[in-house]
Amino acid sequence: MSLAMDVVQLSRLQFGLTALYHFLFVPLTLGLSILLGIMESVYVMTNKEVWRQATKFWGILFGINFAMGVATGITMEFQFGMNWAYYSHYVGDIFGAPLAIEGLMAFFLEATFVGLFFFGWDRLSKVAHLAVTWLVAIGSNLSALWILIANGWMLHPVGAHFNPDTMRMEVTDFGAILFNIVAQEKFVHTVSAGYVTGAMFVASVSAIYLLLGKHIEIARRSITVAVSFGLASALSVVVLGDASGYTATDTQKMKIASIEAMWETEPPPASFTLFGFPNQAKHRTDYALRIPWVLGLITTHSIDETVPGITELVQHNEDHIYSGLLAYAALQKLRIDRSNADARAEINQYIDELGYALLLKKYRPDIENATEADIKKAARSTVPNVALLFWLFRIMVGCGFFFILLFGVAFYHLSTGPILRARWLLWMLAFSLPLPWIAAEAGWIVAEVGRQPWVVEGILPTFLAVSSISASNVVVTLVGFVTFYSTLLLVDIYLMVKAIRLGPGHLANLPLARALPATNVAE
Amino acid sequence: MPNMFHHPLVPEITFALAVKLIIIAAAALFVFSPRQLPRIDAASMQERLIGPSTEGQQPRSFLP
Repeated sequence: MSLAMDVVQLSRLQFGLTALYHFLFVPLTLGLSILLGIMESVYVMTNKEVWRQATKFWGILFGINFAMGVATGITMEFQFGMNWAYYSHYVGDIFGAPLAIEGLMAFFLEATFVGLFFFGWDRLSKVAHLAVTWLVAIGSNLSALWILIANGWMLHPVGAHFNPDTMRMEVTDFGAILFNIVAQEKFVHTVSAGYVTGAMFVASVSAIYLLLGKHIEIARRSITVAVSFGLASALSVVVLGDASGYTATDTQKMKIASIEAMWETEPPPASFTLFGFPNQAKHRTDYALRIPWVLGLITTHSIDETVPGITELVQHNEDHIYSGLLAYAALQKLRIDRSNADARAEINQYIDELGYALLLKKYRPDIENATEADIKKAARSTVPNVALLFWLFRIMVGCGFFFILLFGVAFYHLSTGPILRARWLLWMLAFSLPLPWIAAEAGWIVAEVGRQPWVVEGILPTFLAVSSISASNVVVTLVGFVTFYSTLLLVDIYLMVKAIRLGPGHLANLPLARALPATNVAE
Repeated sequence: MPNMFHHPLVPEITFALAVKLIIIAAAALFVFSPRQLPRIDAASMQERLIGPSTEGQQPRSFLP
């Protein structure tokens, strides 16, 4: 890493890496918490001890992941104050409330019930403990809801207005922020991805046990639950992802055009580029393999609606910059005379475009003197890294369809006969373990890099949101975070592997926890 | 029946959790404490967005 990288890039890298590390733990917590609830519900309904042992075993793995993952997100909140102080001032009024509620959910609801889950087995009634387990799951998911409401607002800022006296965005409609369509769709898409992760984890570990002929009674039941839940979740992820894409066609046009490397607007319905090498400098995709109609159908759910291309969107953004400069000029007038009613009216009229004018600050401080060339350059800067988005999106979607196929085939085998006979399938499940994390991390990069150059879409450019701190300070904390999180990840993997090797056998001296001949289990 | 307190990994998990929380608390105290945070108010935000005050300067029109 070079110290020549400026504070903006370093702070973005630091936040991005912290978030990606944090999200290695989160999806497993989300998915495993629901699977624990399902397994314990079966135990309470059937009173079969094997389900209690299964819940306790997967609960240990959930606990390790929870213990290693808890509070890893708090370092992102440190960064909001330190690295992103201007951002925190500008949108803190909106962003602060969901973050605070998320903290309360995570630290009080979730953490309290996690304690009761682990230490309440012999102290609570069966039903009371089941309620605790489901409250852990609900708490985990609600934590995700609040953080995604905050994140969704950055992608689609609603329910707020700019106050020129305080120089910040202020809440006008908390309900609109709460029920922001982008946030809600992102929430269900993200938690579904977490459910796939949890399901794949349980299915993979169970598959390994079955291949080794160990802990077969628990593994056989666990893989049945995991595959069924995984199939439903994988279908949900794709359907909800499609819904997100449909909404983004309206709310984040540039992101959609960039993901699809759609340089020019096509007559509807637009074709879908299945494969190719986007060339950002020349605005073309080399060796493109296109499928007619598909993009138009996916993104607009119609055959006659247009999906705007990057060139057209850049031209629109030039117009936004001109309008934004009017808001900027009005802000300058207001600074000279706070009672200038005309300036206030002008600000209200053009405030939605102010952010676009601020993009010019990257090229010159006196943006009121911006030339046409400056404005064209600023408009072109609204195009994110197309090749990165194009490829990561396809990796994510490819994984999503693979999960449907894998869980679908496994579900078929479970429904029609013993899965132990399909050893190739067990190997596939075992080796697919890392894929949900790869898909989830790719999805986050697409979502966040696709928003660039904005920290809040259309409102505040990222480079204006960063604090005036030295690059060397950011480098020190960046190295510290990477070292810390990498160590944490290694410890997490070490503890997980150790717990999996120990298996459920030590939890109770039950015959069912011992290995049984595979042929018996296959019956 | 052995309970969760007696799981063989409990000492290691507790140790790892404690070390992690100490590191995060140390980061909060020594690197990201309130006294080290940049202070931003309306004036500094205004300076960041529309530049230093230049009283008397007449903004020009930007109509396309």
